Amino acid sequence: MSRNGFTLVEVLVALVIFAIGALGLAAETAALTRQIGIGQRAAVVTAAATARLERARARACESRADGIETVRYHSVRLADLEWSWRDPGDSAFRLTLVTVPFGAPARSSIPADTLTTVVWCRR
Amino acid sequence: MTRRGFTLPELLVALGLLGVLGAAVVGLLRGTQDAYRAQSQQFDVRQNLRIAAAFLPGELRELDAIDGDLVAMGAAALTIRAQRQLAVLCRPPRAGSGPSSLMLTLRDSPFAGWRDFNPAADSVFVFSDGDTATPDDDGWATGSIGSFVPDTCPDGRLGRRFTASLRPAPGRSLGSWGITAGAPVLGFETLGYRLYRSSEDGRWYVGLQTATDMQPVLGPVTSDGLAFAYLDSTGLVTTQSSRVAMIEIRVRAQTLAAIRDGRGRLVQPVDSVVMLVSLRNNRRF
Repeated sequence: MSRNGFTLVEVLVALVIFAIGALGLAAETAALTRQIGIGQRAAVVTAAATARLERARARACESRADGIETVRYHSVRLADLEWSWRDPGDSAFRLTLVTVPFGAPARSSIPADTLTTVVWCRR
Repeated sequence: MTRRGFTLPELLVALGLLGVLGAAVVGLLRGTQDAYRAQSQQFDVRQNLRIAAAFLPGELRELDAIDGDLVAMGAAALTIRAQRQLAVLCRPPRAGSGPSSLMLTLRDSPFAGWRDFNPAADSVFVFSDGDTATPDDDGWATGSIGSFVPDTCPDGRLGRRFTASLRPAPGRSLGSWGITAGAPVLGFETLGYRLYRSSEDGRWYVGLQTATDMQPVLGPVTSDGLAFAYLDSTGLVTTQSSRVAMIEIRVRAQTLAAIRDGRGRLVQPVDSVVMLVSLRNNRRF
């Protein structure tokens, strides 16, 4: 008897190859979702850092204190903001703000960052 | 007799399968459509919040609370002196009709501003230098302005003349104004940002209140969609306008229509943005 068509083995091999491709696509989706998450967390940390800079600017010419602040989002700890002042003696105070992501560096963690700025208090 | 074709049971099974498949596809499409609707509604909300984040801090950052730029502070309304023009005098001022009246001539160029002077709405600060050797006695005379007429500066360049009704700078008196040629003139407008309900659609907006009218700036927002908090330099709330060093702005907006959340319930999500602005022109000495 001869019937045209695929054998079971052929069909199985084709299915496996298709599945590998589909899994690749699914992995891509996961990577995309992870990136979106990183972006959202980074935006929250950036907003906190911006507010910290505004606070520092408002007070800098009266007093300057180094400090640390933990940024949370829905009670999940995202990063620590550490800021420190340097006074080079020219009434232009240097502020360094460091973002330290919480936890070990992972594919899903936000990047570490350092920002240095000047607050002028000259007359 | 042999007839080729499908039997009735075969046809029924095929139709049944098709129906199940079709229902699944329709369900999928409806989900996609719900998600699309939800997305576009949320885009609108975020667009509003983005306008707030870009616009309001820019307008408030240039203020100088110590010198009185915060005219009235409310929880959902703020009246400020907003700088609108910068120009330069090209002649020493001449006395006007009354003791507080001065005739001033501005150069047409340089001139910087959002818009031209509007005598009906704008006031001016005129720099009062006094002793040019020291900055310790510097100040600003302030007051209202009259209409403009063309004039020519001493160097032949074009200018325009107006009469201002001024209060002398602190420490000076009528007649000894301390104003010289070359003095900068700052034009400002007293205006307010506040939450208001539109009479057209009944929704809440953040509006810009000028002397003549109210314009929506962004919205619609929620009925508690705008909140100001006034903080001193240590970050504590203050009611004294001259002590304000930072303003916290909170804007809340809600989707216009109900959308389906992840569990299929109809909701109208609220999103918000909080901005902290330190007032850049506060004196820091």
